[in-house]
Amino acid sequence: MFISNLLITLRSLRKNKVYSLINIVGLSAGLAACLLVAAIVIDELSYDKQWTKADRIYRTISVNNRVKGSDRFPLTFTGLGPSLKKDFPEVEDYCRMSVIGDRLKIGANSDGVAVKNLMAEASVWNFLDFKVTEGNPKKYIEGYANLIITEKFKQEHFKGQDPVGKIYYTIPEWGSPQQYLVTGVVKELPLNTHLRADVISITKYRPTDDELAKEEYGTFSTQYLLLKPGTDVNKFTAKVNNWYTKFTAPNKPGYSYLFQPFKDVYLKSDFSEAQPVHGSMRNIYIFSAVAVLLLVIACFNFMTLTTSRVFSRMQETGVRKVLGASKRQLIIRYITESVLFFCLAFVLAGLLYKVFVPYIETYMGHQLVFSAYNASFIVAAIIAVLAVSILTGIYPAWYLSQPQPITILRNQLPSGSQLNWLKKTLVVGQFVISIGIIIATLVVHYQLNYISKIDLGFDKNNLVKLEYSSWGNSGERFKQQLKQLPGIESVSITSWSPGIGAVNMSTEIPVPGQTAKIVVNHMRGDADLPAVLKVKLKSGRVFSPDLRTDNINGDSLNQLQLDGVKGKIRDSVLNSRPVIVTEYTAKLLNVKLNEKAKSVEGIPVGIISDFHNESLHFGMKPCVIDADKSNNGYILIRLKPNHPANSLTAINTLLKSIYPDKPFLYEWVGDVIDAQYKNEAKLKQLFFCFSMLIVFLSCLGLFGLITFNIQQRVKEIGIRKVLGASVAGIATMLSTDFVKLVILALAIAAPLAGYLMTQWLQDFAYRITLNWWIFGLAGLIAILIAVITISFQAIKAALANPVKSLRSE
Amino acid sequence: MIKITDLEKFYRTEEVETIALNKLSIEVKTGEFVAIMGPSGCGKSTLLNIIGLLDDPDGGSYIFNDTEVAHFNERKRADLRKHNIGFVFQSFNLIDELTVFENVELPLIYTGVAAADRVKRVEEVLDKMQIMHRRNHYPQQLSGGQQQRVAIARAVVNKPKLILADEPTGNLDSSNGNEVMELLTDLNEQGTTIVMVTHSEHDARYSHRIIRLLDGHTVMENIMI
Repeated sequence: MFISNLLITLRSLRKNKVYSLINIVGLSAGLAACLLVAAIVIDELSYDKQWTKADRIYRTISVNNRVKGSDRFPLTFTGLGPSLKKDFPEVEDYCRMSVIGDRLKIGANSDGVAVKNLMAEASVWNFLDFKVTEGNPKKYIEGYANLIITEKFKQEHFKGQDPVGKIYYTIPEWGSPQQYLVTGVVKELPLNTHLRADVISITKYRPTDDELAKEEYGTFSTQYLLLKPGTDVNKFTAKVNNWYTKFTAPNKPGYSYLFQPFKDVYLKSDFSEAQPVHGSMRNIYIFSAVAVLLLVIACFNFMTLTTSRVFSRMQETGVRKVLGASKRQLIIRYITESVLFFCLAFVLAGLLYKVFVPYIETYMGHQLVFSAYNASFIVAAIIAVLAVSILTGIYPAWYLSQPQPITILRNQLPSGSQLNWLKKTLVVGQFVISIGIIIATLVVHYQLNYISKIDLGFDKNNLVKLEYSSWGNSGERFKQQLKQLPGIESVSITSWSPGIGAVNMSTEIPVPGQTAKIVVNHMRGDADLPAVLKVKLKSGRVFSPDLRTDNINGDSLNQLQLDGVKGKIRDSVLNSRPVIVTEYTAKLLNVKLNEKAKSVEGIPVGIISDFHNESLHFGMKPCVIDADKSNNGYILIRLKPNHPANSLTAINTLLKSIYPDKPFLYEWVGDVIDAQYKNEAKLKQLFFCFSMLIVFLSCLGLFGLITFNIQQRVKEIGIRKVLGASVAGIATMLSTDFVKLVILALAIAAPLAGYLMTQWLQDFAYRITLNWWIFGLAGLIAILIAVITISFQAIKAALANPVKSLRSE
Repeated sequence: MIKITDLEKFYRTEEVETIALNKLSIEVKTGEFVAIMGPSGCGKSTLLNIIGLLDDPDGGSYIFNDTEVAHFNERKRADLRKHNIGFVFQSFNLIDELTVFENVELPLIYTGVAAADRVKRVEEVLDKMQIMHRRNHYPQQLSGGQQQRVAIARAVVNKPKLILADEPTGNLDSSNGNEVMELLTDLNEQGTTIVMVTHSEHDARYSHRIIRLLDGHTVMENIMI
């Protein structure tokens, strides 16, 4: 029986090629998308679950109690870990570790090799499982930072050599090179960890670092605690904060602490934008929702298309019934068919998955650890596919088994009204989803477009940034020689560069007439900064290279150990140096030219036009440029629009002639600015792909419905034609109903999508307003696509010879 | 075998009630070959459907092999049907996706005959209908006469006591039509009861008795000599 069902299904597949193709293409596209999204979601959820002690490891989090509403941050006083281990029996161990960018002087390239380095204390062996394959790296060798490389790293960079026991140097952007002694090799480090790295280095902290100051000063670091089994982390947290309050007494503690489960660090660290490897729960939800929607649409399609064939199936069903088939047997027969369709589609989806995984990995920016090609996932997927195929098949099977045998003798069609209603609901549902995602795609598109056109207040084009570094005594010489190069307009050494965020220094200042304090951003720059950025001077002057007051080296002043009167003089010099403020700042803080103002910590000598020093997610904030001739900072180079093609090479050659050991690390500021909207650009890509797929699948459903509908009206169409209806008239008559459905879908989708996209736009301080025409455009696109889909069948039906349709009666 | 008394059947639409069968009474004895004739709309197809247990009457009694079946539910009717009644249709009603062999095999599958037994019986009947050489063809690849022979093979493979034929020659030319009538006559001579609806006086002459219907009731019975 089963074999016979299978056989007959395969034959009918072959016979109805168009129907089978549409059905299988639709299903496999839906299933493939589902597989891909499932792989992503499972991969994202797998982060940091592989460590044997993952359940007991917590990251320490600080909460700043001084600033109201301040967010958590994943750094704590460096001495906290050791103190907690000393005073709390619950703490088995602590480890201060984080992943840093490093540059090793190995290989032929003079710029060395960039590595991600998991810099940790020796206790890391007690926290994470690494499989040692060479050397004895667990034994810390004093006097050096110990470096442990992976097998893959050894293969890539030390082919045929034995690096263990040898010393290598870093190429630092700052300070003098560090020595690394390679002490061992470990197997690969997992990719699915927020501590994703190429190498591990073990360093020792100074004993003074282990001390916690009750006055709450000192350095911060990322730390992890290993708690003893069975520790209740909530009670532990309360206990620690209690202890800390007593510790800082009589002062109120400026910080309190939280302990974040190791397994949550990857997905639940929205508060820590700087964490290099982090996912987002919100994305997991978006992805899962999209996967479910796609599957639902694909199943809807299958139902519509299958039930649409009821007419060509009626004769077969009737004959079988006359010959004694029971309803159960017929239902099983049609469910077998549904299962077979799903199985074929599943196999195709597996192939599509294989084709698309590399694209997904490019999109995600890293390799997926999880692969759908593993036994347990395949078994689970097969069970899921069977379940879905049976669930999806039940209604069509039940419906197809309905016709009474008598109908074949009477040549009578079953009444389709109930079925039509269901199908219309399915189609409206599909188009609500389609139009929703079209609106979302349009909104994301226009918002990104809008942002890219906003005048940032400075010119981001033809601007190159050299990485923050210590340029030493040759800094000024380097700058002057850069200016001599053909194609270079101006050069500045500055503490700020577009794209790095607000600034690296800020103060909290009370505002006249307001209760809450506001943040004032300070950037230090030399006399050339305004010219390099091309900001416009509104009044006053920019810094002059010739004035002594405009060329104070703040860094070296700060480094001097000055006490008493000398210290006071130094502070007063720093607090009365010339500053340039933006128009917005001058107005908000009510500062006047050449009047020393505490709020801007200096004497404003110039007012410049406003510029956006942060991404457009954030609104305008007060911004002050301090006159500072420091040797530390970024170098911003303004190129002429028609600069020679080899300008970058020339810069590098000059760099190497003055700083032979410095790597040439540059970025185009335009690219850096664009990168601020990387997430949004990716969301746009994602929405675009999904909207194409969803619209495509919905069209298949619509195609099924119109086919069904036309079959039902063949006789009516024939009669109308005999009576003189035109082809266009009939095609229009058939299409109108469906266009109405799409309009209904638009009416449902518009407010829904409008609400959700308004929420999304809240992430931007500068945003488009949702105009009616975006919804109109989305509706128009949907209607256009629907009409094209419908017209294939409608025109075919209208062109058919009426004699044929009437004779079949 | 069949005893129908005061049989009634109505078709209702919202406004009109049409009487298809009006207190109709007929009897068919085991081994008989009966033809039912009459103009379009006289109720002959309705009668055949009720006899074939494909439709239920609105009134009256229908005794099949000494059992009152007029009020049987769908399952009981299907069960009785698949074991006792074979059907031959004007439009053959073969399933396009099945081969000749598989079409004929279908009733045996539904009555639960074992696979080996099925092959034997299907081959036997195909042989008898002289269609064995076409066993692996699909219906579209056969001529009308061949298709009807397959349909008859399918109707008789279960060895039914009663064959109901609804205009079996309606879609055939006269030579193929005669061939089909010969086949039915043979079957009847071997003991199968046959009830046939036809428009053709020529075909009706193969039967023992003609029942003529008009407006849902019997107007005349001719005994063929």
